[in-house]
Amino acid sequence: MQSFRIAYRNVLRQVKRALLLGGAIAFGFFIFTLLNGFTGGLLDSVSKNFADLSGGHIYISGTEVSNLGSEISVIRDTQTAESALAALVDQVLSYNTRSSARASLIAGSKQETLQLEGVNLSQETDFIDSLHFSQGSAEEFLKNPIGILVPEKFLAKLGIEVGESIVVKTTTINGQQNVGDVIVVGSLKSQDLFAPGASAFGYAHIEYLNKLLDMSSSQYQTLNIYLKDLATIDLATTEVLGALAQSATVKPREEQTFGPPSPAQLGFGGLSSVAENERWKGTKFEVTNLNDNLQGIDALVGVINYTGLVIFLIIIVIIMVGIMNSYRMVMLERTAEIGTMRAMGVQKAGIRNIFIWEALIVSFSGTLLGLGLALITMAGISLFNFGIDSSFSLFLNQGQMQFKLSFLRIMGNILLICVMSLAAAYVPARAAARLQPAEALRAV
Amino acid sequence: MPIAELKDVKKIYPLGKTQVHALKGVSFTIEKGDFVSIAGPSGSGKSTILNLLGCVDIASSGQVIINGVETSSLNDKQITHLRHEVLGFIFQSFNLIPVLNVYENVEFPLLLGKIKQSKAETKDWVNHLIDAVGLSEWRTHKPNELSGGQRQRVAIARALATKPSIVMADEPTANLDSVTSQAIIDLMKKMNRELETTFIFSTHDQDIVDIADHVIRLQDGQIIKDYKTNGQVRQEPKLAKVSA
Ligand SMILES: Nc1ncnc2c1ncn2[C@@H]1O[C@H](COP(=O)(O)OP(=O)(O)OP(=O)(O)O)[C@@H](O)[C@H]1O
Ligand SMILES: [Mg+2]
Repeated sequence: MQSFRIAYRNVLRQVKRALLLGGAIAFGFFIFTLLNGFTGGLLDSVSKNFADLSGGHIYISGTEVSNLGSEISVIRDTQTAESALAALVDQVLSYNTRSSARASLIAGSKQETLQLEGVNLSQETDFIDSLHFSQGSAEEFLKNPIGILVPEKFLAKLGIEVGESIVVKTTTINGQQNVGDVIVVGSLKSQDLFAPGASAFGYAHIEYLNKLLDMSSSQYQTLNIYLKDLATIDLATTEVLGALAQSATVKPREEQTFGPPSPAQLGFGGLSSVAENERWKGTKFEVTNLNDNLQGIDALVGVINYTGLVIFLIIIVIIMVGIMNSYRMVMLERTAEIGTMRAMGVQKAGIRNIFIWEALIVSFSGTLLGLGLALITMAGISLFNFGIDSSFSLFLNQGQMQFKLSFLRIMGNILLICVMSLAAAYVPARAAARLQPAEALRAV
Repeated sequence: MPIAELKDVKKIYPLGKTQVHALKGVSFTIEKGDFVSIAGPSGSGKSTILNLLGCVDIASSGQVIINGVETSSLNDKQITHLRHEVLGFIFQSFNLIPVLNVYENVEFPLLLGKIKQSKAETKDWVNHLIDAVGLSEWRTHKPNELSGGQRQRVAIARALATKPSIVMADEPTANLDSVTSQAIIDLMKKMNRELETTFIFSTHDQDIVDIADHVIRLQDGQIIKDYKTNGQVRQEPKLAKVSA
């Protein structure tokens, strides 16, 4: 402990050097921790936003082959679809059924296209609360069976006001053009999607949309399930698939193309025809989940984390070089001191430990400082509301940036920096310990 | 048994492509409790001898025997241990540890290795030494707040902390004015008598040489004179041990 005392005093003796070295470590650790916290929170925020947007965690969709041999997107066999809910027993938090279509809104000579979601508000009680109205209200939407909600920028594009009646044009599931009258009962602050080519979302009542799509009011295109526990999502998805397979055709998960819904589901590009030998009877079910949709985000988080890791490694190398050089200088400065201690009976290990303790004190304080700064910065940023209509709102939780750090990981990183500092200090420390006492004493 | 002995010791320093023969076969013995002066002009080999006696350097040939132990047979750990247990050092430029205050500098050697005393005993002993060298008022001061003479007093107290058998002092007064030098030598002499510690110091100051009981004169790496000054001084009854 004598070594520790001397080391501690030496750090204080050369505060400037300690601050410089410790400051560099603190800065590096600060950036790295911030990045880590950001990506951790990002995944959480995006999961939640994505679930809100797509109305669930597990999505069951169905397709049939029409008499003419084309693939149409509809679940008529609702009984089988709902058997999935029974399979999950008490894992289900809530569920809802939706239809959706690519639709054009026409007001006079102006026309705009959006993704129109038919929602069943008696099922989706929370859904209305997750919307951010700029005009109009949830009540008006609930009251009006032909009411629709559109992104606020559509009002200007179409040159209309909330409350106006316009024409909506879409393609039925069978591929026919169809039009209907709707009333714009509200506008929504837009949540821009990050995915390229993604469209704006509008909302209608499912009964009305079904009519437009030439479906009966009890049918739907997707059955979306919210789970109580997101951790078991992949297991639950498999269970659902198994349940459906008992009484219907299912698309095996390995055949699925992940990502946004298929063109058939979205209703554009016309209907695709199914080859004679590949046709099926009744409804063929496909089950996807939030994780499938989040693969892009996972990749993004991966890239950010990877970048963070590279930065971290560079920082570690800089720290190591810094420590090595600093302590090589220190050794030269303190040669006589080392000789004196050796003469007085300090063993080689004692001299070495002084150097190692000094490096550890500096690097450990540096990481703590960096961690502290990062925590303060995160707390500061998460107080700030960027607004839900900002261009990166999908990454935010109700407009606020979320950070999430893993305690174990932080501890691991601190340990790593300390171990690396120790390794870096070891070289000059050993050189100092190996100085011949008589030689060292001559250096006054 | 002599407390220290050199037998035909040679020391060769490599210097670039040539060699410096710093000691050309030196032999002498030192008795326990003596106040020994190694005298000689610059470059005569005084520091070299003290380094060998102090076990901070190794002879090129010959034997260095400290306390009956032939030092060339010891490894670094054992030699370091020997230095700690048996030897004390006083340096020309004081060499105090700058980050420690007066008390801590004197205490330092006592905290190395196995600690043999209780905390209270250590504290009493350190305070006693600080009082003995006349620095009671300066206990908590750092070395850079002290004069050269005061620093050397701290160094003397520190050298005596582990109650060594021998204290090596290489030109302890070279950085001090003559009055302070005299005081430092007197202090060393006082401690030599009170603690029966053998002191071996080098100097080229004739006034100081005369205080020694035993003088070894060097020139060009060889002993030209080895004599006892005044038998009486050495025979004088020792004062009671202060540390008892
Ligand atoms: N490490 C070394 N490398 C090379 N030569 C050395 C070394 N140390 C001492 N010498 C040489 O050995 C000789 C004796 O040196 P030493 O330091 O023992 O003399 P000294 O009597 O202590 O002199 P001074 O009074 O100047 O301190 C000198 O010629 C010196 O140049
Ligand atoms: Mg010398």
